[in-house]
Amino acid sequence: KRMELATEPAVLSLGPVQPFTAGPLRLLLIADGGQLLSARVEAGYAHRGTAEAMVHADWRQAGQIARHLDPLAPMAGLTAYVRALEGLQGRPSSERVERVREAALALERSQDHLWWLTRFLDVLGSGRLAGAARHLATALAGVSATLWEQPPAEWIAPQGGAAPFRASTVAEIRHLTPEVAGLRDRVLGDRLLGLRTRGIGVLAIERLRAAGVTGPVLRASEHGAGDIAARLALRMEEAVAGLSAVAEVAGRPAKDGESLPQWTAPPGSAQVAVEGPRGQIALGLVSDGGDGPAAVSWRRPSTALLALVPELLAGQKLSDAEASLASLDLAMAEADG
Amino acid sequence: MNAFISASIVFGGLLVGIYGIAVLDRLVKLGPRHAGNALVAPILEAVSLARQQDLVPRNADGLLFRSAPLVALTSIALAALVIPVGPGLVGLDTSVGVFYFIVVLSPFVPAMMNAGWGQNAKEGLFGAFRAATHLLSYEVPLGFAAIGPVIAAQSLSTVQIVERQASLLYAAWQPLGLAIYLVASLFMSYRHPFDIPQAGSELAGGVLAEYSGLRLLLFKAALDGIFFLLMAMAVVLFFGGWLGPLLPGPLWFAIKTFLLAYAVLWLSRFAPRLRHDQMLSFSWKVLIPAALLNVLVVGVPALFLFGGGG
Repeated sequence: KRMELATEPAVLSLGPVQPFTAGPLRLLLIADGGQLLSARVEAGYAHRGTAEAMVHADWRQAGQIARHLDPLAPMAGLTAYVRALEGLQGRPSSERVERVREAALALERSQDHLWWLTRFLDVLGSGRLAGAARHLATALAGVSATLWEQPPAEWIAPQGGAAPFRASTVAEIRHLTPEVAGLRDRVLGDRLLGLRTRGIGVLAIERLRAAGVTGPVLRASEHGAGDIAARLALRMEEAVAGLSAVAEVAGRPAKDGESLPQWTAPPGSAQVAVEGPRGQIALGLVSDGGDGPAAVSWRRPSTALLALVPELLAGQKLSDAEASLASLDLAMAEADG
Repeated sequence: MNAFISASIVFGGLLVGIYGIAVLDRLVKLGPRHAGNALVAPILEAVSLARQQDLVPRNADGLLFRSAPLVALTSIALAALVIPVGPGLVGLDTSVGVFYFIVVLSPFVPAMMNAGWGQNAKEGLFGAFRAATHLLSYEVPLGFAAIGPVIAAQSLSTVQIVERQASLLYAAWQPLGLAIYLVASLFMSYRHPFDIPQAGSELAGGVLAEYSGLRLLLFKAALDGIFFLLMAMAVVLFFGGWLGPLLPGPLWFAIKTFLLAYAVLWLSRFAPRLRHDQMLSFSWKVLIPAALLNVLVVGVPALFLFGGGG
């Protein structure tokens, strides 16, 4: 008969301040030795009532609030809002404007992936690679900042034009793309990093789809093993591909004589989804013909991931918990709404 | 009186070494542009910790908790005695210097385990068991790696090992032993990537989680001190200790030790932090077989050269 040593589970509290999530998240881990039995998530510390705030604002102010739907991805929030408003107005923007918006979104996703990589490598203690990732993420942040030098309401607004990327910005992106590709090769070729990330934190694709997960975590399970290494590889590939696409699209002229921004909407409703760094930000607007939105609803990619955290951690080693959580790239301000 | 003076000099040298490692550690993390910061930060941190309240957790094992940093510091202070920094400049010139060094440093791991166990906290307990895995990981490879220079010098005396390298440094023909020794040194000093007993926010500091004030300062000093000593012993075993042209012996010794420490700290930042089971696996499947191979590689030529009789 198999004899088992009686052990006493220990409850370990993690957080609420975490090095791997943007915003506070508290976790209670129930561990039997170094093995995790279960986990409990305590979220909501960063709740801001974003949707409610938008309802109390006019159409233009609500756009400013929409930039903070995901504070780490202001472009995604604002684009979702502007597209929803254009949907209400029944006049989608021109193809050329959409192309520039997509380029700006791709730049934001690439930059976000590099910041995630920095945090993730810091968690694993891979200091050299983290330093290289931080350097490139900072450089890309400088490039992105040039887009925000003009008031966003002038270049990303309903029926408004899309300012072309400056020639210097495009040149800088072209210069940085091979460097990011070099970092990707270093990261993916690092055998010790592979040892530390392979076969850990596996998420089954069926479970992800059932939970409504979108974005890199889902794609890593669709195209890879669904473990931490797959998420790492996918984000690195997407960062490089995104920058290459930006450099190609952003070089073309974008202004095509759109009219002034229209900050009004007739009664009706509209739903849009925009691909952010963590997945699809889906935004629904309802208008009663007034000065601002009558109702706002939005789907947060990190919320769907947060629901999977307990089953992700159960059965894992305690020393893998941080790496597994960090691989999800949770933005708590976005998850908490 | 002479013994007291030499012990005081050795301890003073150890303190300088501890400060040097603390500076190098920051220099590696911050980069050379922040050298000023790296020079001042350890002093400020030491002053800050010395002024901090020294708390003992409720229901802690007072004896283990209070004694652990002292045991750690005492073991490295005693081990420092056999490190020769120049011709005739050694605290204790014994014929079994290398053996003494490894044996006297051994209480360092139990001190870490006592610190984790004695604080009566879950984080510390987890850290204590992780620290115990280190004991299983480093001891054998470190001992086997140190055997190479001992075989070559036909002596366990640290002074004689240095003197026998006058014609050729052992690092030149024992690179495998050197590599194993340096990796085992990182294990033994709980340095990255083998710092899992106290690193990782899931344990909030692990064995050091409940320490504060002067005791935490002593522990941090001991952790820097053991790394310094292991690098100093690497210089003795593989890089000819104080030997070198023009400059005085002790200066050569200091230059070699700090350069080696900087190189090891710099290289270690390329690797991610390993789990304890991965550390054990690495130790038993890679380090120990490689260390045995090194003994063979060094031992066979030595057998022919010295005829096995010394």
